[in-house]
Amino acid sequence: MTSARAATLAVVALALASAAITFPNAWSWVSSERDSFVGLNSPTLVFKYQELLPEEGVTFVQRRLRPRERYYLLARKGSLFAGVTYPTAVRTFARYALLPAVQVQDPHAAEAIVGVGVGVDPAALGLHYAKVERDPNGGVVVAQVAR
Amino acid sequence: MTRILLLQLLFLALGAGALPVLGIARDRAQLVARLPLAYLAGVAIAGIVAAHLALLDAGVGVAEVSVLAALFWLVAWRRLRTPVAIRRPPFHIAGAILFVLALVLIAHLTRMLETRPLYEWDGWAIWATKARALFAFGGAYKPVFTTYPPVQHPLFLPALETIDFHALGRFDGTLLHVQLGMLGFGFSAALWTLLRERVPALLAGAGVLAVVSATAFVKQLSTNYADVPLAIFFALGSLCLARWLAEEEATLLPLAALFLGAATLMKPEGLLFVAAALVAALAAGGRPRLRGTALTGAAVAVLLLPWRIFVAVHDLKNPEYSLGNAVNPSYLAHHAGRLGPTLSSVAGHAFSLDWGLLAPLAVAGIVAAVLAGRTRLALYASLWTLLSFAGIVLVFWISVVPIDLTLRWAAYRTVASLVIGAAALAPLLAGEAWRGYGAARG
Repeated sequence: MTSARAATLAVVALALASAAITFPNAWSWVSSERDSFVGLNSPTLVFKYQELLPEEGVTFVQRRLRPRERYYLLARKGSLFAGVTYPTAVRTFARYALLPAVQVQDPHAAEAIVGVGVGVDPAALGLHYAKVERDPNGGVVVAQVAR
Repeated sequence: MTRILLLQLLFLALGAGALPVLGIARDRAQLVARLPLAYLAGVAIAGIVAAHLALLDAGVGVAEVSVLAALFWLVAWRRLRTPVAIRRPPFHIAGAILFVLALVLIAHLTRMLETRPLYEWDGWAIWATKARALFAFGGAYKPVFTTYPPVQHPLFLPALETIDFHALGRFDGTLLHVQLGMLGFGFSAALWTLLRERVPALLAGAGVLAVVSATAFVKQLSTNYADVPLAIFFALGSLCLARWLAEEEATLLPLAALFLGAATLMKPEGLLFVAAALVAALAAGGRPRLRGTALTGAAVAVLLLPWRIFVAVHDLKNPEYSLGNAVNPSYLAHHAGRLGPTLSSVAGHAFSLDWGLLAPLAVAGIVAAVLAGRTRLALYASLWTLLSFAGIVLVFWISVVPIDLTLRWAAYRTVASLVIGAAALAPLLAGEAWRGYGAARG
């Protein structure tokens, strides 16, 4: 029983030692995070990744897509970081940012094409469009597919 | 922010009504003593109901949670008997101070989370996208929820966050983090209560503080990833099961089913940890506890069933792995090169100092229980830990994602349930050893 009690005391000691190691780190990490983010006040902002589709671009596209409208996202080629291509990253971000419009994986199933990136042209998909609008700030184009 | 905090009071009221209905609190005195369990019980009920109704394109907001709470209280009021004598654990200043320190840290964290925007990839790409879609469409709109990857992830967390958005009246990717901080409060309070009923306050307080102050716990809870919320519900459910094994505390079985059910609806690997816990409980509990454990398992299966039906009806596949490969010797042999890096990475992350000394703490707890002759509890804890570790390794082994990428992206957080689940059991194991009569009761 003595060894069992010694093991129990070891558990208490380990728990206290663990907290002693991590508590100061956790506290200072939380403090520095608050210092970094206090003052940011956008309910839809995504830190760092927002540059994939800046807020002005999101607003431009959202004004041209109806809720539940199916869109295909066309992006320039490239890679963002290991294992994730640039088009995958932009499409992933657009799924979040352009809700309640619905992204589809096949341009032929889309009601609209959203192009992101300088030089991206919906005409490259070979579809017919009823209307093509380019963001004057550059980088974003919305093309309504002709039906 | 105020509206989200008021919603938390509603979750507390819902849980407080549910405790007597589920038999977790049998009279008023026990309800008061177990009130710290009520908040997370309410969150679990609201989250499960919201996740299931979302599959039927029905949203859950403040009004629905209020109706649910009122219904529970209608039944609870009749069930609450006159108080019988409840043995209150003696007050211990050192243990209480440690517990309060844990709460202070979580308060500091929640104050920061009020200002933290979405940041980490999965936090916005998976979880916030699903939560925003549930709020925008009023349910699991099929063109989104059957195509936006990963389609195999259940909906508990986004459905819970959608209730927050209904309370706010809008989507808010910053304030949704406050809900995560509140889960931290609920976890601390519930862990303290479950441990304090059975072990000395110093042990309970030290255990709660060790888990909650782990840097990885604090950081990962801030990311809007589902791994720590999964670990929170799993660890509490597992602790309820362990107390059932240790003392045949049957009043905790409904709570075990509720928390474990919530864990299975958090992420696909929740089922792995829960299945490992139920297998370990069946093996350790023996014939006397077979019925209670089996009923708990059946209740968890019922809670998971609607999601599994949705997955089957829409033929949703996990593109990262096929479970059939886990029992395919030729596939495993062909991919044996993944085993070494996986073992090293998973074990390395579990013992990383980001988790403090939680892994050694868990090992010490098992050793204490073995030395005290508490074989049933020691068998449960060690078998669950080994099965869970093996399960995690197996999933990385059969994954089709390049091994260096999948380990870099996921290993550090997949171990959250393993580390937190094992560490949460340690004070109970050590407490049983301290009681000194373990050998006689086995």
